[in-house]
Amino acid sequence: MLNLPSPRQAVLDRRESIARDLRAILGRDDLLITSANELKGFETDGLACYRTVPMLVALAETTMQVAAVLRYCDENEVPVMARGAGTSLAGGALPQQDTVILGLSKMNEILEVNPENRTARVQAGVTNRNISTAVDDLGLFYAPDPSSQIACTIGGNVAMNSGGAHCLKYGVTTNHILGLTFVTMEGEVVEIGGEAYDLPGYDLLGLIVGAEGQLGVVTEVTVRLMEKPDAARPLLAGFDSAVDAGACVAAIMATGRTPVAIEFMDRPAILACERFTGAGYPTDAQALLIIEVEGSEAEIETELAFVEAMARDHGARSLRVAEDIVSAENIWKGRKSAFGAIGQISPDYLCMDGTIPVTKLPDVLEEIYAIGDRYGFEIANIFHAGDGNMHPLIMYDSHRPGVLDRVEDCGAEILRACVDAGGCITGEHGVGIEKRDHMPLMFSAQDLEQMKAVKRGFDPKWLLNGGKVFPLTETGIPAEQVDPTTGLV
Amino acid sequence: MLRTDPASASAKVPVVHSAAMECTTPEALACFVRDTEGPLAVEGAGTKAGIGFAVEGRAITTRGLQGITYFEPQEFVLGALAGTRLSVLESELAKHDLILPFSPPRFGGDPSVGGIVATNLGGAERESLGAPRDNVLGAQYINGRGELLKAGGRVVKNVSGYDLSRALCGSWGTLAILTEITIKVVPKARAVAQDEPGLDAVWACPFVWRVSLPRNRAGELLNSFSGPSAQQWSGALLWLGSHGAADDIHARAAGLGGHALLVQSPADYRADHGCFQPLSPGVVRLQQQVKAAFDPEHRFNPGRMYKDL
Repeated sequence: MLNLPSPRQAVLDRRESIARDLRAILGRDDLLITSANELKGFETDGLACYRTVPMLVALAETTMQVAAVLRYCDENEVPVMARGAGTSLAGGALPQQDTVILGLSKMNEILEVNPENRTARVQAGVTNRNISTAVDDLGLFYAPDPSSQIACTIGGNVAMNSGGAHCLKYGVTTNHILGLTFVTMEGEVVEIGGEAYDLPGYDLLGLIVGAEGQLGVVTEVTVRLMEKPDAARPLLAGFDSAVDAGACVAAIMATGRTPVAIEFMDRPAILACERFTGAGYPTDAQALLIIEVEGSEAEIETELAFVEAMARDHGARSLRVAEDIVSAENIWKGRKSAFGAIGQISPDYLCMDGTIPVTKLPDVLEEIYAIGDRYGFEIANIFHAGDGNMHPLIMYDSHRPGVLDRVEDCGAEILRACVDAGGCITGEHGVGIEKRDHMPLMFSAQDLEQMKAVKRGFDPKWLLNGGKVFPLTETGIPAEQVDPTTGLV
Repeated sequence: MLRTDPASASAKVPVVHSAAMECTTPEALACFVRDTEGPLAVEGAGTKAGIGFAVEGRAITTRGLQGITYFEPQEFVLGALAGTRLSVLESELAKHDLILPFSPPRFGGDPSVGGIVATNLGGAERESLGAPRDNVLGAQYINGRGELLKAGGRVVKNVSGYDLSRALCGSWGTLAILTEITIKVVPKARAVAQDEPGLDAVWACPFVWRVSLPRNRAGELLNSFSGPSAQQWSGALLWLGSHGAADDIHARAAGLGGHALLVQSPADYRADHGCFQPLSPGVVRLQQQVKAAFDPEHRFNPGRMYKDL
C-alpha cells in the first residue's frame, strides 16, 4: 500500500470552526457536507482500493464561491482538492483526512456554443458526453472520449489531460482546450486563452492541462468542437496470437492511414466480455482487434477494405464488418463494458495505463504475461493499440492478506517494462496517487524538482491536492518522515 | 544526463566560434550556463531576431547542437538536437514520405527546430494538425540554474507528470534553453496546400502583424484594415501588412477575443514598442511565477517578450 502524508492535526482540531466559516462563505447550509454518512460518498474514486473520508465537502455553484473557498483555505492553511465526478483511475480524486473537497458537480451548465468558430464555453462540472450531446444537432462533437465519458467532467479531463479511444485520430484533451477560467490558490480569478487558437505569452493552458489539479482550480472551459463525420463503422478481427494482432496494428499505423480507433483485447478480456455481454466475440481467438474508420460512405468502404486486407495479411481468422448501426454497436458493446466484465470474473482488478511505441506491442505483451505468471496473477489486456496505450488489468482478490502489495509490485514491473521499451508510465489516466512512486522510472530527481518548483510557484504551501504526482519517498523513507507541507523528506 | 562534477566538466566548455557562444553538446552548453553569471541572449538560427525587444546579455546559441538523435519512421516520432535546421529535418523526413505536422513560417531563413518550438508559431496546418506545441512529445532543456533536464517522452500519449515540454513552447527562450526536441511527424498525404498568394504583398510592407482570432470575428478586423492582408486557418489567422505601425492592432485583436504579434518592424520602432500582445494583470502574475520556477535569476532572454519577464 502507498503511504499517504499524515493528516495535519492542527487542521483536524479546527474542523468545527472551518465548517462554520465555509458555511458562511458558501452562503447556504446545504452546500457544505459534514455528516459522516454523506462524507463517505467522497472517500474514493475509480481507484477503489484506496479510501479516505475527507474532512468536509464544499459544493460550489459559482466561480466566486470557488475563489472564496480557495482564499480561505490558503489563508488558514487547510488542504483542499477539487473534484468533478470522481472517476479517476489513478486516485487523482482521493482525499486525505484533513482535506476539504471542493465539489464542482453543481457547475454543470453549458454557457455558450459558437458554431461558427466551432467552440463551446462550459462550466467545469459538465460531463464530457453532455458537451457532445449539446452540439450534436449542429453536426459537431467534442473529440476526446474517455471510457467514463457519461460520468466524468470536463474539469476532471482538463486536470488529467484525459484521452480515450478516438484520440488516436483527434488527439487528447490538451489539443482541444482553447481557454480556461482559472482560480489561483490565493483566490484570484484569471482568464487564460479564449476562443482564438494558441495564446499570447507562456502556454499556461499547456501547463495547467494535465497538472492534476495541483496548480489551481478550473471553473470554466472553452473547448474546440470538431465536425462530426458522416458515419463511422468498426471491423472486428480475431487472431490466433496476440503477436499477430500486434503486428497488424503496427503495420496499419506504418501506412499512415490512421483509423479513428484501434482497440485490442487479449483472450482473457475476450472471454470475460463475451460472457458479460454476449456481443458475439470469437471465443477461440487469442486476440481481437476492433478497428473503426469514419468519413463518407465511400471513404468508409475504401478504408474498411484496406483494413480488412491488412488483417487478413496478418493472419486474422474471423472477420466481422459492421454493416449498420446495430451491428456496429454490437461490436463496441463488449469493449465498452470490458471493465464491468472483468469485475464480474474477478473480485478486484488494478488497471495499468503505460504507453509504449506501437512497434514494441508484441514484445511488451509477452513480457506482461511473463510478469503476471511470476506473480501468479491473471492479466487481461485491453489497449488503445493504435497509439500504444496499454491497459493491462491485473486481477486479484483483495480478501487475500497482503495481496495489494504484490499487485502493486506486479504493476510496477509492468510499468518498468513500458519505460524500458521507450514508453511511459501513464498514457491517459494520470499519475495521481497510484503511480506517484513510479515517477523516478522516467524522471531524475532534478527533473521532478523542476516540476515541484512550478507547483511551489502556484501553491507555495502545498495545499492543493497534495500527496500525489511526486514520490513521497524517493529513497524508501517512511511517510512519517516526509514533510506533509512540501512532500519532501 | 547532467554531469555532477562541474570542475571536470568545465574543461569541456567550448570555444567561441562567432560572436555568440556556441557548444556542440547539450552538456557543454549546460556547463557554460552554470559557470557564468549574468543575462544570456539565447538564440537558435536567428530567423526571428526581428521579433521582440533586443536582449542585453552575452549571446549564446544552440546552432552548434546539430543532428537527428532518434527517428522511427514507423512510429512517426523524430528527435533532434535543438539547432538542427528545418531543411535538414524536411529532407530526412521526405525520404520516408513524411512531413512535420506544422509548417512554421520561415521568415526568409532556415529556422532551427528549437526556435520553431520555442516560438510556437503554427503554420498552415494549425487547424487540422496543430501548432508545434500540439506535436511536441518531449524535450531536453537547460533551466536557469544550468541543470540539464528532461520533460515528456517519446510516445504520443503521455500524462506522466506536469506537461513541461508543452509549457516551454512559445516561451521564446525566456524560461529555458531547449537542447533536444522530440516531435510527432505525419505522412505526406496529410499535408495542406501552402499557397498563400496574399502573403508576399503583406511581407513587402515594413510592418507585418500576425493576428489569431475567433473565426467569426476576423472579418471585423479585416474590414477595417486598409493594407495588404492574407488569411489562413479558414480565416482564424490574419496577416496584415502596413506602412505605418498600426499600433492599435493589439487592442483591436484583444477586443475581438484574439491576440496579435508584430512579426516585422523597423528596429528603431521595436526598441520602444512591444511586439507581443499585452496581457491581463492576472496572466502576468502567473507568467512571473512560471518564470521564477524555471529561471529565478532572470538570466534567459530578459525582456525579450515583455519588459518584466
